[in-house]
Amino acid sequence: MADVEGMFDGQPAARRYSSEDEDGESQPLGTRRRRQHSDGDKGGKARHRGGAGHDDEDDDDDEDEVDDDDDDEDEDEDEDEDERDYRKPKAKVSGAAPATGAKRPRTNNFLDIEATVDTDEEEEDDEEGALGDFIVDNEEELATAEKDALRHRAAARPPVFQDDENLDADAIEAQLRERYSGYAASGGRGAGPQIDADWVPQRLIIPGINDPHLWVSRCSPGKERDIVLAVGRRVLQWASSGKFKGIYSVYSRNGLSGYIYVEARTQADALAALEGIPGVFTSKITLVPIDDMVDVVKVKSHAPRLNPGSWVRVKRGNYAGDLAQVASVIESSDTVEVRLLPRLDYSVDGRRDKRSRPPQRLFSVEDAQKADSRSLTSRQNEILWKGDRFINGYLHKDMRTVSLQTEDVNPTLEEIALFAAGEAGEDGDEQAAIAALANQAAAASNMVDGIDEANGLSARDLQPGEHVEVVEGDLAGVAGVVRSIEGDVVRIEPELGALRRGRRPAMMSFPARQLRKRFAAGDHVKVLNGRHTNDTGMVINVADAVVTVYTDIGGSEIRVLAKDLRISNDIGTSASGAHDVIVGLDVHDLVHLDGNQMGVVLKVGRDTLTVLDDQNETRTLAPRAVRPARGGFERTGADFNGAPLRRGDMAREAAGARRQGTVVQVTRFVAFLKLQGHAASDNVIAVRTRQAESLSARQGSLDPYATRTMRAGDRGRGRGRGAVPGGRMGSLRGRDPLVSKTVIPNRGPYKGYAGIVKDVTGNLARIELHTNARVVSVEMDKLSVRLPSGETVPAADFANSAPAYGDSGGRPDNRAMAADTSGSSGWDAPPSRGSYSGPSQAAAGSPAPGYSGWDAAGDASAGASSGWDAPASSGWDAPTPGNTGGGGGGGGWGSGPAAASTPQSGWNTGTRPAASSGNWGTPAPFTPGALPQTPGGALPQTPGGPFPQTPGSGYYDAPTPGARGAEPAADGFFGWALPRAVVVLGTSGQRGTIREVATERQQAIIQLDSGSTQVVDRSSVVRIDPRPVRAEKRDRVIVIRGSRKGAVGTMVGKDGSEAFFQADGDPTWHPESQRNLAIYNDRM
Amino acid sequence: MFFHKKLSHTITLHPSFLGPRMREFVTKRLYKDVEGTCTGRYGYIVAVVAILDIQTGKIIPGQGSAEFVVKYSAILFKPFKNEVIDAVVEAVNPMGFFADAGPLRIFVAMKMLPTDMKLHMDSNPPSLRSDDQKIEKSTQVRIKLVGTRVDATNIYGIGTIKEDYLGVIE
Repeated sequence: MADVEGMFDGQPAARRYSSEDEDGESQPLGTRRRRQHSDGDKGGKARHRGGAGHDDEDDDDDEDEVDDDDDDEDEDEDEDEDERDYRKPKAKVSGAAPATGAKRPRTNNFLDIEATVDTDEEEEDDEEGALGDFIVDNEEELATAEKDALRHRAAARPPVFQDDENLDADAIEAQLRERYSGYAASGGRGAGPQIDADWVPQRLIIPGINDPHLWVSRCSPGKERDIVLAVGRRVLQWASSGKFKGIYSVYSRNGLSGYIYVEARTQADALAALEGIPGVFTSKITLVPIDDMVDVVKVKSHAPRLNPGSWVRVKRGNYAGDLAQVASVIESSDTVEVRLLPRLDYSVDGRRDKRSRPPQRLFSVEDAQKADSRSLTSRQNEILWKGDRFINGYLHKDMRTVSLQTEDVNPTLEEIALFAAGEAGEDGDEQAAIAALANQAAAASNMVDGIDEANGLSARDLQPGEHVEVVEGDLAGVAGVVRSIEGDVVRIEPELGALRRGRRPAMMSFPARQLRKRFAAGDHVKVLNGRHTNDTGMVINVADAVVTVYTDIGGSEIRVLAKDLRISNDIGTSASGAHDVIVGLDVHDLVHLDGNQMGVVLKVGRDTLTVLDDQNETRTLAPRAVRPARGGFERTGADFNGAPLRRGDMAREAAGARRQGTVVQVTRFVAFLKLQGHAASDNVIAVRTRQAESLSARQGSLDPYATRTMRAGDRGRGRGRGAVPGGRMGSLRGRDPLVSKTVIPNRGPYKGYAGIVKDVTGNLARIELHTNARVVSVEMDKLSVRLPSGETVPAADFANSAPAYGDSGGRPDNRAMAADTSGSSGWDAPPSRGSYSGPSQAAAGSPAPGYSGWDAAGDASAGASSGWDAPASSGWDAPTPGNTGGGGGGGGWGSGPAAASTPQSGWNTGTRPAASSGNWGTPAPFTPGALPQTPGGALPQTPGGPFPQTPGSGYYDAPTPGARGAEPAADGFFGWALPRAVVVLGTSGQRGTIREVATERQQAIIQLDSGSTQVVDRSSVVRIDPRPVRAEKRDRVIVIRGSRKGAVGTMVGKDGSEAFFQADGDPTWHPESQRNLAIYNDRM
Repeated sequence: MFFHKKLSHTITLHPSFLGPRMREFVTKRLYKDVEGTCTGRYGYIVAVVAILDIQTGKIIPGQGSAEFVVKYSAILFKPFKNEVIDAVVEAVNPMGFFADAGPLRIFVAMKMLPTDMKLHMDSNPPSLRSDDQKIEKSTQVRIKLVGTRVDATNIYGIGTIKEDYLGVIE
């Protein structure tokens, strides 16, 4: 009995009511001895003993032993009483005490001497016909006593027993049986309840009001034991001196310091027993309520019991939290020997940062020798060092169970693996060692009656329907399916037919601990506990208790204990796992590391990230150690050739291994390449951008400005359509050219309504209608823009070539214009130089074009201040056919300033205070004579400003302005010229059809309607000035510009400036700007 | 394993299709709907062999759409546990290799390979080699399925070649 410190050899009375089972474990020593004895004696007797405490027997004992010269009278009475007692069922709760109450002073409760018990039983045996053969020390005495007893009894005996000497044992037994059962049934005696059976489980014996009461008194803590002994001595003394004070037991509880319990009839008795004993505070004595009496002596049945092999955790000290295995249990103490992976400090001087504890590592003799060889001793297989004991490298330590965590240990497989490393040895099979350890632990916990679920399977882990296997006991190896679970008992239906009874499936019950979940390769399982909780996967391999699972997500192999798995069909996201722990980070994301370093995420773990930094080194970091890189714009780097490197490009190392891969991330300095044909884990490398070579964008790689111009073009177009979301084009980006334009939807519910564009998003324009001030959204392709001239253009066209339409007078949209510098439509392509070179060339090269040239230019700029019209006029319908040079020049005017970018905005408007612009803007139309000078004068001054800003266009034109002066016009013509297109020659007004065009060489042959042919080349194009002939309805036409360039078909109608074009063989009509169409000559 | 099975499928047609070429459209829709799909119960529907019956369509009240129950027979491919199947290796990685048997992707873990098979990640392409076998991308292998996992729209298999007569097919 671990908890109750009983003073007296006899059972403390309260123990009778204890709910503890009748096992010897929790019984006082004396009782146990007695039990053993009687077991040897006669099995049938044992059942009498479970009941009440046999105080009377004890009384007898006392008499025999202590007061062995008591007179016969006493003995007689005692025997009578004894007999009475015997007849009454022992299970009666309070029968003994009240019945013998009167005689109590005579009893001596506190001594329990087995010999006397035997005597007592001997007597009974005698009655029953000499069934026992006890060795009695004092045989003679006993013999006389027996004779006396028999004599007395004979007198009191009922007639049936008168001649018992003549009866055989069986008959006597039968008689006794009859008699006793009759007593039990009649219930004539005692105040206790009538119980049919002659044995009652002890836990049902509850103290009642007739039982002695329990008093509790405070005492000085730590002195309980001494006090109990002192009181015991005093009571014994009383007993020996013949005065009984009604004290039945005195005890204290181990776990409860400062309290002492006395079982007595009255408070006076209890006080008398305690009075004067040092350490007892009798003033604080209270009665324990009857209901609580049982609890006082209740022994916690689930006191942790440990078995060798089971896992525990150390609670405190250097090894706090470490997994340990119980090596042995030291009997009758609360100490166990555990083995641990030592954390030893081998530093020679023993000085070490106290805050950091040494890592777990098997004991190393070498290190120990180095550190402190004197304290190193060995005996047998043990090594002693600095007072610690090591076996096989493990530290063996005796620890109190209170300092160990024995429940919910839940060792992870990693910990077990670490532990197993020592077992496995250098080349040992680690797997096997792990499995062995796990099994060992499971087996150990099995012995603990399911208390320690931490290691083994408990009923909680099981569900009906699961497949299990019996792993221990006689039926080890039996496999079956769980059918029901009751408490810790699991009923399974064995799978083997031989175990079936008849045709009915047999059911077998096992404690959960004897079972293990059974999985087969291919089972789809879900992890219930541990690090991989909620992962799902398919079982690949089963090694006893350890199951290898191939996870669904991530496709990695994990090893899990079988008890943590369950068959499952759902595909788990690792709910508590990586995917939501580290929010917003994914593999291959770009992150900032410490300092200026950047890296890409290679792996997202549950609480760690594996990152490849720009030094090509892999690091494992906590998620908070990185910062996700800002997104929202495209990063580029310049590669080996100066070409842009962008995400998604193919690239390879420019030197070295020349590994090739896809750019997953790029910064200004480093490109991260994902290599092909490598394992997923390590297929990303970091390469400095200058040492990478893009394989995607070769064409522009030699032109240092290629990327810029190209991108500028990208932006221009993209923005025109409003398609490029956000981005770093801030300097170039502005309002959509459509904004604040007057537009008229030409289809849909708002057809014909005029409105002003408020905003453009994507393909939608928000329009404030003039008519009722409502703002509506209309698709872009349903809009046409009404220009100040009154003409309307489709919004899409307007947006695409915004600069051309941009009203250079009022609100120059320079950004749009800049975007257009690289625009491909030959129409507005004339580079900026045109504006300068045109006139100058005109002045220099042609006899008298100056005037007309400037006139045209004037037209252009003055033409209702609508720049868009200018090129058209130059290309198409310049009022005077004689403006040969001016065609180019005019074209130049319209677009030149635009191309010249921001500072040039004042060009046409004249707002710029610079003299040059003033010269250009105003006098030109009126003072043609001055022209040759003005451009000349302007040139040296103005170009300095604008040119650096538009290197793409202006730069390479600069050296030969004169030579290329005609180019704009040539581009204009050769940009659209297509065979069989009908043209009219601006000079002569003759009509003709283009017979051949060599765009590259800038040559074309025009078959004139007159029959002659006219060769047009770069130098003559301006002079000849061929222009497309505008088509009318039902004309055969060819598309000369735009996306359908080259298509031949019919113009089926027109609406304003928009024509409807039906390509041959295509039933649908396409809206096409009229200027994109030229009459097509079928007959050639 | 392949099966030839009669199945039925319900097709809902928008009223705009209720016209002269309705049956043709239903047929087209059936092919489009079912071929190449995968269910846990029947496996992959490889091909519709014949359309057995197109029942009279029923107009769904309130919607105007019509429902046609089409009975058809199809070739099904359903992988079973313990089935031996030929497949083409798709990728080799440190955990094992993936092989495709038609639409079915099978994973063979390292543990399921013959013990003498070693991974050669540095070879090009990565391969698994033993004395007499070499598994790399596009090798044909005979695999025994040890398990299948059924998704909503797909089936995955886990296989082994660690048994007699399994492995590379010459």
